[in-house]
Amino acid sequence: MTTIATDAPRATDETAAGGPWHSWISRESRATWLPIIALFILVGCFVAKSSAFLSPMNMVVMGAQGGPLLLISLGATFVILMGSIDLSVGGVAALSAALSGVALHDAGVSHGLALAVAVVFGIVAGGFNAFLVTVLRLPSFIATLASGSIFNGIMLHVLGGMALSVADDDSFADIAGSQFIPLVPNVLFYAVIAWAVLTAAQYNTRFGRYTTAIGAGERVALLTGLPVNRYKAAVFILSSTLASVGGFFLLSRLGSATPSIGDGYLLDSVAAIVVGGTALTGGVGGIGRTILGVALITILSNGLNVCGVSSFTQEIVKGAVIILAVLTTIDRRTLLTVVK
Amino acid sequence: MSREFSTPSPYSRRHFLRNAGIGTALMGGAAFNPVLSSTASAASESYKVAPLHQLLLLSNEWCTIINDAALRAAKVLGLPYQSTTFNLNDSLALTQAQSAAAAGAKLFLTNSMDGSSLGPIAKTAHSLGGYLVNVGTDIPWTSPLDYGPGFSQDFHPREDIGFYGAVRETVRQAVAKFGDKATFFHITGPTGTFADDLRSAAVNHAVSEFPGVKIIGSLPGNWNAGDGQKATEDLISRLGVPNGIIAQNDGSLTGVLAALRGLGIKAGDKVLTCGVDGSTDILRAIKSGRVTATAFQSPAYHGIQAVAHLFDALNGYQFTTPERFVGFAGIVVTKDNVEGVLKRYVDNPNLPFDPRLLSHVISGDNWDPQAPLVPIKYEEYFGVVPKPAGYKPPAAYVASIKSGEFDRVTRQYEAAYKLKLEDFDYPGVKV
Repeated sequence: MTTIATDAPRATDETAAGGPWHSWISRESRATWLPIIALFILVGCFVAKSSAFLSPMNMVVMGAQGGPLLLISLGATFVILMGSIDLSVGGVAALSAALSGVALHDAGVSHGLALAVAVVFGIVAGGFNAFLVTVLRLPSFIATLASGSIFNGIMLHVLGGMALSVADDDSFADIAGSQFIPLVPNVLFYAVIAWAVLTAAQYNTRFGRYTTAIGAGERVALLTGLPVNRYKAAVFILSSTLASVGGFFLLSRLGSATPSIGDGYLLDSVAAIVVGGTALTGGVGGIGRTILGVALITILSNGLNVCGVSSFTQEIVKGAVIILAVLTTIDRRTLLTVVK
Repeated sequence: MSREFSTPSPYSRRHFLRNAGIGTALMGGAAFNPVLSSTASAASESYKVAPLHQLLLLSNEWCTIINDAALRAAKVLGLPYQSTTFNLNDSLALTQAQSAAAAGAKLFLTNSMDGSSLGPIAKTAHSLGGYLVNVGTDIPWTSPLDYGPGFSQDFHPREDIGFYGAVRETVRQAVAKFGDKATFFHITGPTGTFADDLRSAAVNHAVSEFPGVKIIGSLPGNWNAGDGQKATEDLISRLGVPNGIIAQNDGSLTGVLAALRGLGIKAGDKVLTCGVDGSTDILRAIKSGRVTATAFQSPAYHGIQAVAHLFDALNGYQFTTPERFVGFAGIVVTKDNVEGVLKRYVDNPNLPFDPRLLSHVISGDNWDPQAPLVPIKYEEYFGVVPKPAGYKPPAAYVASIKSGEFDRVTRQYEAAYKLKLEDFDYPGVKV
């Protein structure tokens, strides 16, 4: 049996069964509102604890920290929405930063050309992932875990295991750090534009609808004639390209391509996507919510530091908040009935 | 590779190391091939040789330089060489060491993360007639003497001298620039790591010498740039801009500099910074005035000294008890001497130390440690953490102290130290 886990019919059923209150606490409503409520609660707690949390400087800091994570998470959301997963985003971001760094430092290319290097690499990396998943028919979990390892290994060769400094002047750092809009670092500005475009694409284009449909039930999508492999390839290329661009902005922010530059972004991006309300089982959630997850992860991490919470306690609080967020946003009953 | 070595300057160790991965792979292929290895060096014609296996982390400049230096030192001494990356997981290190032993390795060099693999690896080495040298962390209050003759040497940078010196110099300059109430941030390493505990102790010691100076905030930078950047940004958001920032690793100091740049704060002018290790980008940042000081602890020396020690042990040299637990302080690098450090240790395509001079077996009375290498007293090194219940130092160590052997060996080492770390005109050994 195959159940398509779409949001709308379930909400309607619950409305009919339990009235408007039931509707408000339906999974979809929870997924929309609870991250926002959680964000407000978190912000309230941090503001009460430290006035520095809402200072202009900390706004800039949080924006700069959240921008690359949002870029990396956007494409990966489509992959999860489609019922797959991309575990190579950290490796792609790291290798992208390394290639761009070498292009800037050794070849002396312009900043724009270095970004082009990152974009081209992202397309190639995504194409490689798509090949593994659609042609060789490897499960995406294994395929992208392996390709991420390959990308990391290549990155180590490219950098020789050492940090490569690329930004003695401020012009390269300004790509991510300067502000078109006051208090909004450019990296966040660009990431939000990408988020808006992709959100519109998810709900208003065939690409977005088909991606969700494939995630809700790949076999049904195939039987109805959707070109599943083509859409899978497109989604993996989108994911790697955005991760690669995220890596470029990480490079701009840090000023050095270091072997550890992509560390932590894989787990943070998956956490942000799931906390935002996109189900790992696919077909439920979307790009629109990922920005909430990214905001929650970024604010949580920054706020705990700004409020002076000990690093031991921080680990406990982060884990607890993520569990609570996922418990309240994911329909666990659906996980039992969806057949993939 | 030989064409690369003959390339005239400018030449940085980064350029070499980028190609060294390929070189290592080729050497690895040759490592256990008796025909290829027998022609590796003149040394192999008259001395006993055996395959050497290093366990390291390749995504880190410190370890990469150790690997490159050990590879070339092994070539000089005729030891077939191979390395694998254990991702700072001692359990994986043990597995890899056992696999290497099965493939013929007898000599082991490791950069242990927590010391837990050292006993089993030493046992494996000893069972094959081989030896282990560790240049990483120990289980506190343990030494090679606790693991038998297979564990020949523990080598440690003296954070209490080198890093202490870098911090002290930075605080001194901050006091001179901003007054005796200067404020500092402290960017630590991974929480609970013994090596980082040593560094924290060095920081506290140095800062305590300036009574008005305060560390007003501390967060882990986890020895990497990304976490160092985030920790600095968050601390500045919370506490404002300090007069100085002490990072307990040059990787996290790279992140500190990025955070300051991103917030429009001029490093070296508004905020003085310091680190430890001596990574390439930080040495260049000292030259440009953005970093005040770092403790350069020469990862190349870690690799070369260890290989020479293993070579000597294999060839029957009997190391005394004090010689099995040693360390050196490195150089405090500031704007005054950074040019020289870059010249000898970074932009030099040659090995910055001579492995043959570091071998007692080859050099005899001319042996020169080429660094202020000295035996370390356990109390001095492990004193920052409590002794385990019922702790008793090894009998051989106690006897060495009582008989005066420890002091005698210390004096011998000091007398033998002729080629100074600060001899920046030393051209090195072409390999």
